[in-house]
Amino acid sequence: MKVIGTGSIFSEEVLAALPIGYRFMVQVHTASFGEHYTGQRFSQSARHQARNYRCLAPTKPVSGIIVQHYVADPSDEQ
Amino acid sequence: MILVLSYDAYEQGTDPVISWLLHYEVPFVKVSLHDLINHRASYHIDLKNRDVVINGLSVRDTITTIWHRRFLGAGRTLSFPVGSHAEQLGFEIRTELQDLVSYLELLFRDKTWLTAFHQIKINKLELLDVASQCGLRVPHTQIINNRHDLLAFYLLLDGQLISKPIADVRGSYCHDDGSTYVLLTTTIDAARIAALPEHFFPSLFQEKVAVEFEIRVFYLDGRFFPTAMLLSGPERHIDKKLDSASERVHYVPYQLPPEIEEQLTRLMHSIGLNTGSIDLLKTLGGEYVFIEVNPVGQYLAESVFCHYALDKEIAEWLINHEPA
Repeated sequence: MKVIGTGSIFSEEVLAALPIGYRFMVQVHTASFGEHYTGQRFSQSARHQARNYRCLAPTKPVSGIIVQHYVADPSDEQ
Repeated sequence: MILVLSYDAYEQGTDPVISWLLHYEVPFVKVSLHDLINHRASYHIDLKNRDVVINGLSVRDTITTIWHRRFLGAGRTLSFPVGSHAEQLGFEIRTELQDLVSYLELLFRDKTWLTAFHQIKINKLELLDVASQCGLRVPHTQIINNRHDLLAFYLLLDGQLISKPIADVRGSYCHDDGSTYVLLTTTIDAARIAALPEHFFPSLFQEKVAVEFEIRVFYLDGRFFPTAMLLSGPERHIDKKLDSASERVHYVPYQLPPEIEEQLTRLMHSIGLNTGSIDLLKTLGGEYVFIEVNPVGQYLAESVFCHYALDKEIAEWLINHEPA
């Protein structure tokens, strides 16, 4: 998400009746907000019984690179 | 036969599993909330005989395994063009559907479920309580409605404080100017506290843990698929969603210590979940801190980045739980 800033879309009068998190909302570029699927193309798939279907392709090849620290035997860390 | 309960709109976690069910050529049917209301099939639910009959065929004994991915949430999109009555009518129709679906859950209670229907909504506060009882370290958390107590909590935690919603209902608010406002985990500092009114709506405040990295664990019936989210450089946002697409992020498979796996297993058993996405923090001091479980969290990114093939794992779990 591309952050523009922090703020609220609600007036002080409304904020007085809301949890404090609504005072510090994060403003992001809508196009970068993944859950909106902006710009994504959808198809349909009768076999998947899906009205909106996307064929997902893996984006990262097998690298074979392992950071040893993060796969170390957990018992060694104690 | 396997029954998949999900959305008829796009739901990224559902379709890859269905691809594997198609690959293995196992019979399944996917049902969405809209299937119940959009006249796509004729059905009746017979309370006397405790049966569901679709297009003249009884499915009571046909359905054996149920994957409950996401279902009732689609009810949020129901709307009616009735002006000022829309809110009341929407509430009534959603309640009708909830009661209908609750009864269907009762009818199918003896089936094998991947995420029992009534377990899909988790109370974050209750969960922290249960996790603590299971031996997991959880962040010091308080619900506070006034500035005085908040300041005391802030000082108690040496200024290391965050706030986030109590419930997992955070949405997004789109603007015409091309921006969207979202409610995320946010840092609370002295200046922010000073600017608050004396009293406010009860809000969740929590210890800000000194994090080395975050771990997302996909749990499937006793098996763990952990992914560590490593960041190049010391800078990090307090909410990992803001870093998830950063070029500085590296997702790697991770091995949890056996005692953490045992504690998490105990937790999942305690709350009646056989699958879920668990969020943990590993602290700079080497401790593991439990944050939350999402029973139907998105798993695809971690699956792809770590080559876990979780979609295949889920499909094979469903197939393996079908009667021989």
